Amino acid sequence: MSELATYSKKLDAAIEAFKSERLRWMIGLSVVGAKASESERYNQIAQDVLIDEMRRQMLMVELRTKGPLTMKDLSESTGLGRKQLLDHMLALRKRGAVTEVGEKENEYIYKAL
Amino acid sequence: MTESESVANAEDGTKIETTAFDPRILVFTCNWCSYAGADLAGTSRLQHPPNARLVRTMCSGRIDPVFVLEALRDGADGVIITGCHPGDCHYVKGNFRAEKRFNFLKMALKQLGVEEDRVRLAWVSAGEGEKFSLLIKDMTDKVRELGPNPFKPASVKSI
Repeated sequence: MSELATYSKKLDAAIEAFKSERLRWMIGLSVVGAKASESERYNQIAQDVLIDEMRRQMLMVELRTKGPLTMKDLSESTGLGRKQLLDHMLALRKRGAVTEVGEKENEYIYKAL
Repeated sequence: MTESESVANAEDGTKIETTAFDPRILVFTCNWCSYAGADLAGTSRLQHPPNARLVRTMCSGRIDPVFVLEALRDGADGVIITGCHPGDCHYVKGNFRAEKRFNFLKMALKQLGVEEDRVRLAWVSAGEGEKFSLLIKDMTDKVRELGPNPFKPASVKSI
C-alpha cells in the first residue's frame, strides 16, 4: 500500500473517531467544565480513549474497504498485535459494529455491519 | 494544491523551471472578533500573503475537530482556528470550549504524525488587525518550511 493511502486511512479513522459517540462524550465532559476534566488523570484517560477509538475506527476502515477479514489479515494491515486486536474486535462486536461471517484456518472472519 | 511553477532566466538565456511550494491555509474566524480583526487588517491595508482562505463561523466554539481533519484530508496545508480572547467571547464560553476541543485535536494530530505547527489556535480581537496579518505571515512561513501536507490528495495540485 502506498504511503499516501496509509496516511489517508489513518486520517479517515481519526475523522470517524471524532464523530463517534464515545469520544464525543469524553470531549463533552471537558467542554461542560466538569471538575474532573482538569485533572492529569482525565488527560491520561482521554488520550487512551482517543488512541483506542482511532485504532477501532482504523479496523472499521479496513473492514469496509477490503471486505470481510480474519484477525491475521487485520493484524498485517494495521500492524496491531494479536492481544490489542482481540480487545478492539471484542469491543466492536459488543458495540454491534462487526459480526462473524465464517471461519478460515481456525479463525473467525469478521465483517463490518 | 499549492505547488506553483515559476520560470526563471539563467545567465545564458535558457529557461529554468523551478517549483516553489505555495501553501494553502484555511482560517476559521469567529464572527465577532477574529473576522472583524481580519476585516480591519484589510481596511488598514496591511500586507500579508494571499495563502489564507477564511471561513467565518458564529463562534470558535462551533469548530469541531472533524472540520480541521477534513480540511487536512481535502488538501489544506495548514489550519488556523481563531476566536475572541478568553473572557471576551460573545457567547461567554465558546472560546474555552474551542480550546478544550483543540487539546483533543492536538492529541490526535500527534498520533497521526502531523507536525504541531500545521494546526494552530490563536486569539485575535476585532482591534487586532496587525496581529491577524502577522499571524498569517508567520503561519505561511512555517508551513512553507514544513512542506506540503502529507494527506494532500494527488488531485489537489495548485491554488
